[in-house]
Amino acid sequence: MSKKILEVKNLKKYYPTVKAVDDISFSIEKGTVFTLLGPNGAGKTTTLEIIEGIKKADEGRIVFFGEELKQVSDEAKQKIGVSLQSTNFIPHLKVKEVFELFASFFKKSLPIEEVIGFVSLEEKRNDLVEKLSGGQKQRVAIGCALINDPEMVFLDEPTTGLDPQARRNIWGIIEHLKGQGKTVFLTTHYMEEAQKLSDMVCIMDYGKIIAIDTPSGHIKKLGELNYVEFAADLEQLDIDELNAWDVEEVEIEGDKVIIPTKSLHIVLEKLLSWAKRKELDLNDISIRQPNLEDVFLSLTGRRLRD
Amino acid sequence: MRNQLFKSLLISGLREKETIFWILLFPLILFTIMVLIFSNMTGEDLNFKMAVIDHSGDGMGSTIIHQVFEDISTTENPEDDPLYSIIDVKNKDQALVLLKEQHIDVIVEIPENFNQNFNKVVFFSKISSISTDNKPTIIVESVPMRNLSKLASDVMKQILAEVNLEAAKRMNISIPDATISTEMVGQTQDFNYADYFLAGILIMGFFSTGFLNMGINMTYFRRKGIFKRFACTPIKKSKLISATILSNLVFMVMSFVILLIYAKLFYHVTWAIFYPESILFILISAILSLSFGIFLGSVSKTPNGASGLANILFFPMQFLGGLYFPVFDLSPAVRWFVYINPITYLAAGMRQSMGLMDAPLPYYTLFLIPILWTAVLLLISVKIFKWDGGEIA
Repeated sequence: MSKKILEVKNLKKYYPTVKAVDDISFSIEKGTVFTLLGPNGAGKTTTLEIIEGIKKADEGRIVFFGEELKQVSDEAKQKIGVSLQSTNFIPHLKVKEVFELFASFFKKSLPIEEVIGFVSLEEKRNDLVEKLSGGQKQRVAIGCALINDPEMVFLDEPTTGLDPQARRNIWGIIEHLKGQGKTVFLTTHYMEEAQKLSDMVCIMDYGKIIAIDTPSGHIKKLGELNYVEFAADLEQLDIDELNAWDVEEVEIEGDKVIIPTKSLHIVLEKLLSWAKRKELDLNDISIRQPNLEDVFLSLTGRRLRD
Repeated sequence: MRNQLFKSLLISGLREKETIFWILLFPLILFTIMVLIFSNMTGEDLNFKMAVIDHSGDGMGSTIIHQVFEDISTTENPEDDPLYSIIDVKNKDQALVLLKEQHIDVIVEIPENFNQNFNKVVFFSKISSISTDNKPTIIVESVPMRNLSKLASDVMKQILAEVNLEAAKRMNISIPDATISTEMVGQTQDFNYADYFLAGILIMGFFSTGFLNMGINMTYFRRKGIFKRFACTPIKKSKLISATILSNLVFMVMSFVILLIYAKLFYHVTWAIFYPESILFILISAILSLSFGIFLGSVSKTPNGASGLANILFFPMQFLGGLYFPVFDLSPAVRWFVYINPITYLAAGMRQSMGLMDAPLPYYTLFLIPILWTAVLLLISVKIFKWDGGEIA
């Protein structure tokens, strides 16, 4: 039977000009990867920082490890690991020294070498942190979050700004954590990341939760939609003509045309004969399954990247 | 492991070149510069270079003058520099060139008719009055815009005035003897500029560490989210602050020890800095500088802002606080700042306790004003300090 490690009820955090967190509730089960997905400014980091004890909520309840808390206690902090959105450390410290410092904050900690090995920084252990690449710094941050062998790890946008290789390295670490049975609370605005890593995805926008489900559950709600995509000279296109077919609303993204449809065969046949008739070149034509980006679009009317 | 944060902050500081320079090396450089400049400006190790041009030929007057010049250009101890060194010149033109080019500081010219006029004074002063034209005159030439040259000229005029007095006495002209005695006021030991600056530079070093270094670092830590990251761990706010303060105190001790050893070895300062009251002023200086640092870390949003504010505040505070020169007789336009400036009291208190110079202020104010400043700064800081707009639980 699953066990809830964290429950958030009716959490609110209002600033004078914005409702950063607007009455949200959710719960996280032990050993799962829970992801807050949303665009910049959706309220993900504020939510996370309230739970981590950095910010105070205006209203709401947090039940952490079965205990209701107004704010995260020192005892609870012994059981959690945190990697913040921005990664900075005391300047001029070596990787090993940073881990030693963070280890000193907790009652129990893993051996430093074990953590260094886990985040694959063996060769960098005696390097100054400021000399590391962005991806390596991020691994130091995650290592610090793991130093106390936490039951739950909070990772706030751990891959933002990283190159694809560094991003995949971080994904590997998160999958490893999941394999160890750790609970991971992740925030991201990368739908691919959320889809790949998460057990549950909570979609946030303007401080509100607009949907919570598993990645496949979110996608299923879109029905049997498929997406036909192609690039073409947009000046020769009449979108209304395409919308008259058995499709959802056709979308233009750059020079790309995206046609969501539940009648893939019919639409494909129509598209090809229409292109032939119009003497249009259809470049990079592809058919894909829906993803969380499409879910967000269907829920909010705009793309996550907008 | 308990002191790991303190250790990390210390290591971080020691690896920062700017910290090493400004906290440990700069006070030595400044101390050296100040002692060299001011000790030379005020007679210690003064050595004026003088050219003597004598058009008078042999005679009693010129013989006396040459005897005086010989006296002032020799010393009992051959290792000491004489007050004046006489530089040989061929003629006045060459002397003028040397004066303009700053190779000499003053020219003393004995005119052609000097001995004649001198003899007239000696022989006829009692039976008739001497006209102005017939008075024996010595010409002293200097460059007024050059401090050393002006000083050399002024001292020479004093010497010649003494010669006049001596000559008058020998001619039995009634001039009462003036007895000059010296007495040290507000000083219990010989004045030494190295000791004077040791107190000032010591306070400057403390403020560089506590005020500038700690204040800017605290702002940096907040701005970069380092405090925020610590807030996610079980470390207590009090431990964080105490480790920060302690690491800066260690830098202050290092700065103090290095400066003291340097000043002792090369400038032979006294041990007066270790008088109990001096130590008390050292402690108050350290605490006040840290309070300024915490205040700076509280009011500044960015490290650049903190750096700018620190310089705006500290620059006048150190120069109008008597760290490098006396400030109590400055013009009224700036005197108000001298009196509200806590560094004024620390510098004055330190020097008074070292027996160097009494402050023209009630003794209790030397303690009280800095302590009041400390209390006010800490109260304001407690009210406005933010870790990240959030709180450590």
